[in-house]
Amino acid sequence: MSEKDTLLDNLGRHGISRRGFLKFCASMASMMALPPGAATVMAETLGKARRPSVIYLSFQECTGCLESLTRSFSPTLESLIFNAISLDYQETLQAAAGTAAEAAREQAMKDNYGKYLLMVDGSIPTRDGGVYSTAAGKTNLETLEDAAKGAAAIIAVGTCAAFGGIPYAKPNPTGAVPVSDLIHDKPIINVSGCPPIPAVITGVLAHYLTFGALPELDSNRRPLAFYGDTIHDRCYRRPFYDQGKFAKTFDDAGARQGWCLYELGCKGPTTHNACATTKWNQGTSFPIESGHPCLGCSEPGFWDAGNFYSALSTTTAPLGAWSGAAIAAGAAIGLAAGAASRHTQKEAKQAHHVVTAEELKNKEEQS
Amino acid sequence: MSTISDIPITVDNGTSPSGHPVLRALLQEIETLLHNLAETGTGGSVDLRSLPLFPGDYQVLQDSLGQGEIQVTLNSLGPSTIYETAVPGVWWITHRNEAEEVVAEFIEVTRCPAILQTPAEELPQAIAQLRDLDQQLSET
Repeated sequence: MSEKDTLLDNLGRHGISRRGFLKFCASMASMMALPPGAATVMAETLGKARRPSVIYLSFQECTGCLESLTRSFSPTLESLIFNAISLDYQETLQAAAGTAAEAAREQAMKDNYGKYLLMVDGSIPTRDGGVYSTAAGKTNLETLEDAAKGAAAIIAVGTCAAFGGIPYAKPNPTGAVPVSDLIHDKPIINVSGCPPIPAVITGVLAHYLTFGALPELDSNRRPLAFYGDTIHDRCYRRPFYDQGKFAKTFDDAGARQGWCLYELGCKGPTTHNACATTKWNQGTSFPIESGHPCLGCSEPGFWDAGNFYSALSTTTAPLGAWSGAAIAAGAAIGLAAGAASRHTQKEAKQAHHVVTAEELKNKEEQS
Repeated sequence: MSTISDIPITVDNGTSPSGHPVLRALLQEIETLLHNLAETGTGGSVDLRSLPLFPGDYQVLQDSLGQGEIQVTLNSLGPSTIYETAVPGVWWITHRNEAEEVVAEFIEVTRCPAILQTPAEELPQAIAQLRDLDQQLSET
């Protein structure tokens, strides 16, 4: 595909008709919760879109985000959008390596200065000058600052790039920070999730290509079309929540009947994401449909928010709060916190009933 | 390569609590769209994938609306099935990709879904095609 070709020209050469393209746009409009009729507008505009340059940088991450974006069992509609962009640099996917790869990135940045989209996954270590993650002799910090200068916009892919993620978890030994802590003069869109839903990335790119701008964002800079509702808002188990029917354990009668997983720690009520409608694994299900509570992986700080299996109503760190007060109020309250801690430990010991071999034997004989 | 359908999992297609509150709300919405279509000529669509439906609710909805006289298969970027339900003007559209995964599913309230109509941009190409055919016939 040359620079002058439109997306529709390219698709036409691959035997894709206008009806096929309209079908694609209908799917995209559906995912982005655009109003009826938007598919036609999108088809007209997106069809004329030129090929934008995309630089994709990976920092402190596990490659799960890229796996999510690229792993599919067969070519999907989403792949069409990726065919429509010029992915000029991606360390994992590109064939080039070493000096040649770095030179290609420099050239793409120079040729498309001010116009390319910068996609980033992973957080950026800043402690000790950012030495904890380097590539080609440059720290992630230097690479990001350099690449951000000529970017039209930055898409932070995954919770690590968006909010710091797992590397940011206490005690954060590398001083990891999200992209938005370092870059302040470019539009940044956060596509959070661990990993993020691939269709969300496609949707953001399609929106950018269609409307020439990033979509409307929420207060955490996430696209409202995908993060406007909570998992709870769109959860098919919601009627059970409304009726007060909750599974108490993972294998009780309520769990088997598909009751609400709130008491098993579901973070759906406070988690904004599109899993409940977009789903995973070829549209098969999403965590709650598979019987597991939502962990809240698209929210800032989910990694340090306490036990995944405690209900939202359970306070997460009472002792931490007391300790904070102790610093302010002096040693007396500090002693109180210490006493509270010992009391909690004692309670835990009492609650932990140890069964002896003799008791087990008696129980067996009784049954 | 094995696919997820090769894994022997039985899905329990449960339905929502008694009374089908979500489905009844959906039927009300379709009725409103039908009123609009009758009065103004403009209908609308309902994105089924955005609704919190139980897996079994789809089946109940499909069975309730039934199937009318027209069913079309569109083969582009994977198969799409488009049929008019037993309720005139209410069309059920399911788009699948090449792996036959559902990528979008709508109920469209219209006289004829837009995707079935010939795109205006293809008409000049159609005229050129016919002229070529005519030329070829004249040369034989």
